[in-house]
Amino acid sequence: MKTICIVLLLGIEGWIQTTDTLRATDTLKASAAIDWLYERLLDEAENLETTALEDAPEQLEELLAVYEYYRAHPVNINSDEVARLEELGLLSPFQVEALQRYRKMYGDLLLIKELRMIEELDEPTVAVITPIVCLGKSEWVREQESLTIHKAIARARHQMTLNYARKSHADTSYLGSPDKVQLKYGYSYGTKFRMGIAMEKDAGEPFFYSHLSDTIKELAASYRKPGFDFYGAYLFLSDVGLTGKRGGLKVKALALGDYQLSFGQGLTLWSGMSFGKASGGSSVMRRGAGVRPKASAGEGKFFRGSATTLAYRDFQASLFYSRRWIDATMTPCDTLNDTLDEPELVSALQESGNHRTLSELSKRNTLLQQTFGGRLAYAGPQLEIGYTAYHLRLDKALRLKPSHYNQYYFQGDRLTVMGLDFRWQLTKAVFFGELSMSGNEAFAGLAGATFKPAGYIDFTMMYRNYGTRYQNLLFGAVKESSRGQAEEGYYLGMQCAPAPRWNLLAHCDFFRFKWLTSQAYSPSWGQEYSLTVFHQVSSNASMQLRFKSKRKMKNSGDDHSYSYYPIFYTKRSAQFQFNYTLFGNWVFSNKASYSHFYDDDGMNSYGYFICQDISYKPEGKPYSLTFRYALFDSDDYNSRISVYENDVLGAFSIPSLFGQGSRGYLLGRVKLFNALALYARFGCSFLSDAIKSDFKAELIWKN
Amino acid sequence: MHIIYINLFIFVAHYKTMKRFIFISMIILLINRCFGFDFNRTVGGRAAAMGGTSVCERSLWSLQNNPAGLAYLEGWHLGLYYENLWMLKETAFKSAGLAKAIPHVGCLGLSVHQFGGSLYSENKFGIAYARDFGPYLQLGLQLDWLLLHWSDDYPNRHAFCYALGLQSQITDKLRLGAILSNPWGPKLGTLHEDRLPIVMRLGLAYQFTDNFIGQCELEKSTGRSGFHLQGGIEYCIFKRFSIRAGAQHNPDLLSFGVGYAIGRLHLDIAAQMHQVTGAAVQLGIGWNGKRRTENGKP
Repeated sequence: MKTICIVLLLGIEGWIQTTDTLRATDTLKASAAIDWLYERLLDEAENLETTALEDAPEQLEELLAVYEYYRAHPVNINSDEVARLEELGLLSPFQVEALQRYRKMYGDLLLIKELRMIEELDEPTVAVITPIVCLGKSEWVREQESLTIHKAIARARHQMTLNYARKSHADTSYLGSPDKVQLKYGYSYGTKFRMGIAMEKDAGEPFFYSHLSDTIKELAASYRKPGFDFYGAYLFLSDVGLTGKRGGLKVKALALGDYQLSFGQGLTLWSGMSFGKASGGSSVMRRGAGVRPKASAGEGKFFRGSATTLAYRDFQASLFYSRRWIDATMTPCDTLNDTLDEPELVSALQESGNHRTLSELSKRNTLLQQTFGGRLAYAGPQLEIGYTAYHLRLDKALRLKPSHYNQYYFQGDRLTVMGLDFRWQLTKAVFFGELSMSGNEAFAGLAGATFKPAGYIDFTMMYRNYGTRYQNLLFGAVKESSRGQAEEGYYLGMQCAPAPRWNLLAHCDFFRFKWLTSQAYSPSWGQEYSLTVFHQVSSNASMQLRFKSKRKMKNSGDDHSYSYYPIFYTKRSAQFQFNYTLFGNWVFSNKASYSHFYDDDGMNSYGYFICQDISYKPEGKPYSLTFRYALFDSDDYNSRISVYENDVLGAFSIPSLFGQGSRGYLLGRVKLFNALALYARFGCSFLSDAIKSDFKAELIWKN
Repeated sequence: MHIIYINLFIFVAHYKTMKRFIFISMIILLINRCFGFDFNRTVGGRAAAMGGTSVCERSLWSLQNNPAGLAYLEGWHLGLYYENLWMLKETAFKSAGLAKAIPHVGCLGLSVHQFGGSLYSENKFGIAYARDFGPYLQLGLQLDWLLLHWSDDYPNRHAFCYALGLQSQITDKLRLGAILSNPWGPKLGTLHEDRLPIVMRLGLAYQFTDNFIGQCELEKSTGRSGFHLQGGIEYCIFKRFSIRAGAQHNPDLLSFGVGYAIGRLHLDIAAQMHQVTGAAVQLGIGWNGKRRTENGKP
């Protein structure tokens, strides 16, 4: 659910920036919807931050790439394609069903505005899906019905994106320049064929070696040739019939190069973006999108090789093979304790994708990871049952530095995981679950149900229990710990519209870690609550209030104690936001946030944030401007405030603000010719001890 | 709060070997007023499943939860309730209730509650009376005699407690409930200056649709720091079968349950989960003199 929500949210943002013909009220509604979605997703990003730190934006950018595609190829709302919106997480299964029921009763939709007649679709949802749906067959589908080579060349869509970013406060000890450069090219012909390439150099990674001293140059060159640090390419084919008959054997997906896989509820195999719990009803229920191309330049979890899904009627079979070099820290073998046939051991896997220093470069592509597996599934209109299995091999054994908390982490060079998942949809309820087993015969399972008492209400209950010894490197289900093991949890979420123009989302999650974690050296537990209220005041104003509280355990910082003992810490935050449009072209937005962190050691810290956003989006003009000025004051990193900032298309920024200071940014867009768009953003933070600035620019060419 | 959890933890860890310890812990728990007899604890399988929200409820267990809710009952009502934390004989809580509505007079009820075993037990005997003053106001009064029994080394302690409850159907969909217990904090026994906590609860129930109710509640007790927050939902999937869920904060518990009606008999099962102590199971069985309509609505 959340996955695509993010995509959407970002997507819509881009849509607002690039579509000139929109009326201001529509713009406002869409931007309010984005904020609405965004707020639901912010905590996901925060969760990511704790596990993957700097990777979060990179993963989100991956979603953006997916979004970009759907913007160019809208989904036909008068067809079964609508289910795709569910895979994207924009619609709940009930909403898709309601839409289909509406079509059955009243015939196809003639106007997009008819969406508002469907009780199940609330205002923010409609605003969010409007930009990526169309009525009747889209131009592309009609086009494809008679495919020729000539058309594939002449009528294809190309998109080239060049992205540049630089920060003023760069670390000077890195080998390369502080510029980040990313270049992407994508080719698509209709909805059936896509391919593309992506390359990237992160800030601090060397592109040329000429400025380095000879010894360093030699060393660096032995790890990597000059040029971009990351190169990726993909080719993707979908929905191609082999027999020429409807419902016959068809290739549902075929991927070559870089791709992502997501199956079932994510307990067994899920790569790419995966979120935890967004507040709201059915958001913990996943729907795997199967094989997808990877168009972004992210360096996290993905596959490189080939994958295919064949479908015959309601049955599907997927197969994949991936061979990829990944980053790892190597340590020489200890000849006293280890056998001599393993000269080198892997002590840690690196997923950050940064190669800025010699030490980081030395870890680059040191470990060969081969993965193969598949899935057999029955995906009927109501019931979906699937069996997924994969086997992963590393060319050198992983031996972690022994510690009490990583006792049950995956070690060695082989891993097999298999799982059985189901999803059963009824008119007023959806049941879902997955049971997974890792090669060491440890289990993990989750089961839940979503109910829909009325069109505008749904609630979800879910139970999860991941075994202490369960191991899975490609885990993507709901989790609270950094890894999906040794965890048990209960989730309860609700989403409703108690009155017209009012929406309410609430969830709570109770979790328990059965084994030690890196933060708490004892089994620990905690809980999370969240409440969001959204109100569309009028056609040009909306407001939102959000509250969140999370309590977990960590080791006490008590220096006088001889042993570690766990204490609770709590982080609470509240946020209020108000959006409104003036004079048709001006969108104003105010946001105020408060956060409070405290623990049983007696630590207390507070954070405050307030900002004013002004956007000028003149109708029918090829440019737009967005400006923000914000003040923040937080005692320390614990009470930091994470805020979403508008960014250049295809990028995502959530700076964590702490300390005392102010921050502003200016984002501009100019459409130079019909095919060329330029985005630029300049941001500046004034802190008590420093002034930090950052600059981003993006050039997009598309035909 | 963490002290309570540590107590719980110790309690759970040692219960097999140190039976005596259980009772000492129990007393500590009682002082913490977290899981011991809560003098004003919520009774009933439906309330337990809905996160403990009960001041807006209109059922037999309004006897204990909010006497004003009795005003809507008709005819005879009987009920039994059993709750057990950790499945120990000594931690069981049992209730029995009886209510009879007399036209033009109001509804009268009797209840008996018992918690604990032979070494320590808490007993409560109560009468309740409720009267309907039109659709917007129902009032109820509850009088209880509380008896605490320690092992033979200590004298029994007792107290009279009382509560005044109110319910109001503000609109077709929205109902408000409030209860104030022991406003003068009666003394428990004569030897010590221990007083029963003063408790005030305020709740709202919103009938989203005919088959879906959401409730939330706020409680402040002088015996416990902070607010006690509760929320719950009930969805009547079929005419006779409902599922319920709820959550509460301070202490933090998540609860689930189902209700099933067979003729005039109805059965409620609930489980309240805590990450460490596991599930506390609640069972309720009730018999209605008049056929119960959906969700206890009159």
